[in-house]
Amino acid sequence: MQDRLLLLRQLRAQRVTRIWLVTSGLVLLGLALAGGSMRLAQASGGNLFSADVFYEVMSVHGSGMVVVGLMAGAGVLWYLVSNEIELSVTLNRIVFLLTLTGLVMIVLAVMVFGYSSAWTFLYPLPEHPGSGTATAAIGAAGYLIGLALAVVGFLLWCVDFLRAGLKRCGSLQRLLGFYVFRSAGHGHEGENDSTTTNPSLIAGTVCAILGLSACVIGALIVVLMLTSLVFPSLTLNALVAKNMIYFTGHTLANLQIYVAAGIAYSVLPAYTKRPWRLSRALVAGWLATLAIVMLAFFHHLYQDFAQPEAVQWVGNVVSYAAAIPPMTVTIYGGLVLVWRSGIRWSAAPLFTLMAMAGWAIGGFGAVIDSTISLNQFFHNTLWVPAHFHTYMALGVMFFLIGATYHVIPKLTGRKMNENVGRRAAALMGFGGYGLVLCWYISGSMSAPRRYFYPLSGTEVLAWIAVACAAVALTGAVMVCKDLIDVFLASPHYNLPEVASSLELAPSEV
Amino acid sequence: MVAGLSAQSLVVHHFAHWLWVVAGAIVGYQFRDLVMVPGRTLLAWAGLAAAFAWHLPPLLSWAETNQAAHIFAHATLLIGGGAMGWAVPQLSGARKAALFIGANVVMWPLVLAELANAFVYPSYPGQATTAGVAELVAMPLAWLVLAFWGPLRRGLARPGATNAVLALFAMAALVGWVLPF
Repeated sequence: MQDRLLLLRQLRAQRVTRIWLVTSGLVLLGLALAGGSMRLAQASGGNLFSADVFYEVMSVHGSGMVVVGLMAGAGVLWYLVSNEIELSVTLNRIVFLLTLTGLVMIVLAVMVFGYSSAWTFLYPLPEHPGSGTATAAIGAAGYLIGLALAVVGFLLWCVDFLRAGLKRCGSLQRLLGFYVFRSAGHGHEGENDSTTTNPSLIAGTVCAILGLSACVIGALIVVLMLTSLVFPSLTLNALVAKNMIYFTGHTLANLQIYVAAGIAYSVLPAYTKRPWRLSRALVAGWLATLAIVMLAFFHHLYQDFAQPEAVQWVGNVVSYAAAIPPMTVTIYGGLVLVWRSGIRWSAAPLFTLMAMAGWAIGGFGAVIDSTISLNQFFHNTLWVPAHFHTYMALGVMFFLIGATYHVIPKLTGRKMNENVGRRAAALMGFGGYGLVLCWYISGSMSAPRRYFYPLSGTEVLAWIAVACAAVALTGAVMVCKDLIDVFLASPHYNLPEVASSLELAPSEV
Repeated sequence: MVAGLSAQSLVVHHFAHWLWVVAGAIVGYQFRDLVMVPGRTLLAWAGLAAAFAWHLPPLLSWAETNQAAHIFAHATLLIGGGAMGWAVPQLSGARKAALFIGANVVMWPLVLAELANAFVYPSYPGQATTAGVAELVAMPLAWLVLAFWGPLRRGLARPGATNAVLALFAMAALVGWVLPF
C-alpha cells in the first residue's frame, strides 16, 4: 500500500512537471519572439508597428518573462527536490493555475485594454498613462490583478517549500545548513541522516524566505494601487510605492537566478559523477545571499534624490557584495566539480555551464551599473537590458534548458536529441552574446532603453542586434520543437521498472 | 542617560524599546519550564506584535504625549518580551521559523515607509529615514545571530557570561531609567 501511494505521488509529480515544462517552454518562446519583434520595430524606425503597440509588447514581454522565468524555475526545482522533501502536488497544481490565470489576465489587460506601463507599473502611471486610453483604468486593474495572482502563486510555493523543508530538517537552522559551522569537519558528517540538508534545499529555502518578503510587499502595493483605482480620492505616497514596487520587482527578478542555482546543484553532479557537497563556504555564501539580495534593490533608486543618502551607499556596497557569494560558491564550485571529471558534454551540462558564464558576465555588467558614479551615465540606457538579458536570457534560460534536458528522460522515458541541443546551444550562445554586445555598446553610447526609435548613430547596432536575436531565436525554436516532439511521442507516464507490477488506473493520477 | 538620548533620537528610542523586549525575554526564559500553560504559539506571536506595534507613528506619538500610555507601552514591551522568552524555546522548529520569518516580512513595509519619509513621528521630525536605515542594518544582523545561535547560546550559557549580561542590563536600567526619575 505504501509503495502504491509513493508511486502515485511520483506519477502525479511527473504529470504536473510535464505540464509546467510544456507550458513554460511555449510561453517563453512566444515572449522571446515578442521581444524580437520589438527590436525589429525599433531598428526599422517604427515601420513595423506603432509606438502604442511597441509599449504594449514591451509590457507583456517584461512582465511575462519575469513571471514565467521565475515560476518555471520554481516548478523544475520543485520536481528535482520532490523526492527529498514532501512537497504538495495539489498545491503545485494550484500554483500552476494561479500563474497561468495571472499570465492570461496580464496579456488581456495589455492586448485588449491597452495597458502599456511596463512591469514597473510605477504609481500613478498605470491609471494615468497619458495617452488618453479610454480603458486605462480597466487595463491597469486587469494587469495588477493578473500580477497579484502570479505573486500569490509564488507565495504559496514558498510556504509549501518551507513547510516541507522544515518537516524534514526540524528547524530553520538545520534546513539552512548552519550546523556545518559547529561540526569539526566541513559538514560532511551524517550525510545519510534524513534530517540533514543539501545545496538544492538550501538554495530553495533562501529563495522561499526572500520570496515571502517580496510577495507580501508586492501583494500589499497591488492592493493599495487597486484601492486607489477604485477610490481615486485615495492617493499614495509615490516614493513609498516605488520603494515597494522595486523591492518586490528586483527581488523576484533576482530570485530567478538563485532558483536556477538550486537546479544546477542537482543537475551538474549527475554528469560529473561527483556530489555537490555541503560546505561551510556554501552555507556562508547562501547566508550572505539571504541578507544581501533584499538590500540590493536600492541600486534602482540612485536617481531618487529624495531618498536618504545612506540608502544609496547601502545599495552600492550591497550590490558589490552580492557578486561574491555566487562567484565563490556556485560558479567556482561548479567549475571545480567539472574540472578533470571526465564529463561528457551533453546538452544538459553544456547549457548549465553556459548559464554560469551568463550569470558571471551579466552580474559583472550589473556591478558596473550599480557603481553610483557610473550609474549617472548608464541609468536607463540600453546597458541595463544588456546586463539583465545576459544573466536572464543567457543565464536563467540556459539553466532551465539544461534542466529540461536532464529531467525529460525521467518524465517521459525518452531523451531529447543531443545533437539538436548542442547546435541550439551554439546558436543561442552566438546570437545571444551578439545581441547583448550591441546593447552594451549602445548603452555606453547613452542610447536610452524603452525608446521606440534607436539613438542616432546606433541604427547599425540595432540591425545587428535584430540579426543576432534571429539567430538566438532559431536555437530556441529548435529546442522547443524537440521538446514538443518528445512529449507527443512519449507515453503519459514514465513508470519506474520496480513499480510496473502495481496496477494504476489513469484516473487515479 | 538613555531616556535623554531617546528623547532626542528616534533610533535610540527604538533601540531602547528593544532593550525592554530583550530584558523581558531574559526573565521569561527563566520561567520556560516552570510555568506550563497552553497557547505558547499564540503568546509568542502576541509578544512579537506588541514589540512591533509601538514603533508605528500613531502609537509612538500617543505614548510620547501621554504618561500613562508611555508606562503602558514599556510594560507591554517588557511583558511581550517575557512572553517570547517563555514561549519560543518550547516551540517546534517550524513554528520558530514561522515567527522569525514573519518578523522579517513585517519589518519590510515599516522600513520602506520610513525610508521614504512617509512615516511622520511628530516628536522626531525628519528622523524616520535614519531609523529606516538603522533597521536595514539590523535585519541582516538578525540572520547572522540565527546562523551562529548555537555557539552564541553556548557562550551565554556559561554562568559568568549570563551574570555579566544580567549585570549590564541592571546597570543600563539603573542608569538609563531609574536615576533620571
